[in-house]
Amino acid sequence: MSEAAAPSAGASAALAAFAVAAHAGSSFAIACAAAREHADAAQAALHHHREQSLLARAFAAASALAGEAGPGAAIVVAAMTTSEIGGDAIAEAIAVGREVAARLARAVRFDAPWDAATVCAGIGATAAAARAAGLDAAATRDAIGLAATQACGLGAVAGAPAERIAIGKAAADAVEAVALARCGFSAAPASIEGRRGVAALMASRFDAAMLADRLGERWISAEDR
Amino acid sequence: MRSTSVPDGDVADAFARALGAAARAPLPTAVAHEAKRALANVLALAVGASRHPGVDAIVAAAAATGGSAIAPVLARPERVDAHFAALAAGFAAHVDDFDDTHLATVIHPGAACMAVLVALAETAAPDGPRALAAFALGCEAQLRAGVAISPEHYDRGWHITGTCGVIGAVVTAALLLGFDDVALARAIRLAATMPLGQRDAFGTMAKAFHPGKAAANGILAARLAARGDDAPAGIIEDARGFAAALSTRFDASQMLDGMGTRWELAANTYKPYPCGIVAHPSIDAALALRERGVAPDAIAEVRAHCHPLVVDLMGNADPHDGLEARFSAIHGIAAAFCDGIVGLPQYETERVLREDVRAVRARTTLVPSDAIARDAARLEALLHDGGVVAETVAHARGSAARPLTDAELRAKVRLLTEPVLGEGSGERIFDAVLALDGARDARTMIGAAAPTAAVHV
Repeated sequence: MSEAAAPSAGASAALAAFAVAAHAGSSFAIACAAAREHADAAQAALHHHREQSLLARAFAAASALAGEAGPGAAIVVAAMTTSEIGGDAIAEAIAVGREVAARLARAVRFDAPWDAATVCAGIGATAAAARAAGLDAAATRDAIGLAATQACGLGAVAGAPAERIAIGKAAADAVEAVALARCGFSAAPASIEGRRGVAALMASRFDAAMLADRLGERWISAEDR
Repeated sequence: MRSTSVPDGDVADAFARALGAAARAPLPTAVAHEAKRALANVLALAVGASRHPGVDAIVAAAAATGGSAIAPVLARPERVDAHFAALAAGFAAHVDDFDDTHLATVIHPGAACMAVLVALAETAAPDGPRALAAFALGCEAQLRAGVAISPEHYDRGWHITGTCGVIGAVVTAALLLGFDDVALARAIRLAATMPLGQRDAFGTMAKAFHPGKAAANGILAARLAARGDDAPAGIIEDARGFAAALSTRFDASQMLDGMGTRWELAANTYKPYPCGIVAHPSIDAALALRERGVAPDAIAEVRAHCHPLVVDLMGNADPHDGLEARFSAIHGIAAAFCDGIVGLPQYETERVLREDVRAVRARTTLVPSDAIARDAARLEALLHDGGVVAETVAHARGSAARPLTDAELRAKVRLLTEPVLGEGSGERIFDAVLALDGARDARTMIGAAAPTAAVHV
């Protein structure tokens, strides 16, 4: 475990700043294109459940999309549930979420019981929803804090029917976290790197530099494709 | 993982069968009474904190996300969906750190299970005995899951009230909804995929979010189980399951053995003062001295002989706001001398900063000693007239050796609810909880915490 950074300069703050401020570049365009891939299916699923609360819609839509999109379904659905904005803006939000998830997956070596993909998707979904909702950096950090303290995904569930539930719940949790943070709800400021945060409790190794290095310039989520 | 006595077959199945059998038998009288005490305590706390900014945020988020307005928010006029009702009630019950404590696990079991009652009572319409059994067995399930993975789980940094709260909440939800043992087992397995709560959240609203969200997750898991969903067998005990993810220890016998005869809920305790528990014996002693007529301006010096942990955990000698004061044994002592009572008002920032308590704090010192037990203290006050008075507390009020009496708990409930719901509300809530096992409709108990007075203002 690397030393915990000061909350003001730490990984969680960097992710929040990135979620708020990331803007288009050539790599970003690739990420946006990837993000659009599942947007139509997500839109259809959200429309199908339109009479329900946003949380229930996010849960149902991400569960439905999980078969084809995997844990990333939570990211697409959380962004689209949280905001009516369409086009490039929503694709940007999804790209941001995918990048946050990809960075976490690289930087945090999760212990064997955890399913890293689902854990990271939940936090990425929250970053995406925060961006879609237009939260400022402080509120985004609170939302990420709420996502971090409930980041979940058990290895025993990966590949089982209940994996869809975990992915649906990751999307609903993200929508809820953003709704709460927008209303002034506070959470841990250093929830990823803190002494009793995600990395400390769920991982044996954490590389904070990998999380923040050239964030916003280099899009590893686009490279991974 | 150190693991003892994992039974053949699925732990969740065995757990559900044991809980189901206990739910079908009448609660032992003493357990039923302890459950009522726990319930009255958290209901009153949720009423007392109903105007907290965090509850405002939860209610606003509920409106923004458009759920059906079917469930109450205690002591408030708004109605929200079951998810946010659970979140609000569980949050409010825990946010003042004044709720119940199971000392062996440091679980606060009441908040999440009470929150499920509040969220589901309107639609499930349980009678009193069913509601009480659902609450009691939810607490019991939660505590047993906690004991099975303690102490390594909390020590690593998990907030056990959230992680195990999910297990308690799902049992309360499933029993309220009348599940058979097979559906209960599915619900428990699903809940085991939804633990939450990291201690990094301490000091923020997210700490009290944990029991609230545990309640909401328990309701979600129960609803999914009702439509036939399930999580894999072995989800609690397997190598990539609940226990392995959260602890290096798992002792299934602590969950399964003696259900219905051995009750962890019987070891639940209730805080008389809204601050760290190790300071309580010193506060007891100060209140006793004040009762004996020691006025704050007569005091030249106070020496509080106490367990060394008081200095470690509650050693702040000069708190600057209400939150810091909760970690100041010296403030608790000073407030006891000045006000003759130590409740939430004594931890409001304005009170903490006033000159009279600051003066007593400045004259008070902690004298740690290994010879003094954690729940004991001896206070000596040197008076300006040259006299010396002392008070020894062998066991603090609210400790395991000296549980809060029903009368003391009733007084606590009154102090919490009356500033919000008016005179008589504490008695009304306490009596409604006591009458639960004869009540045909548990909603009368939740109605006792409704904002009737506010509506007429």
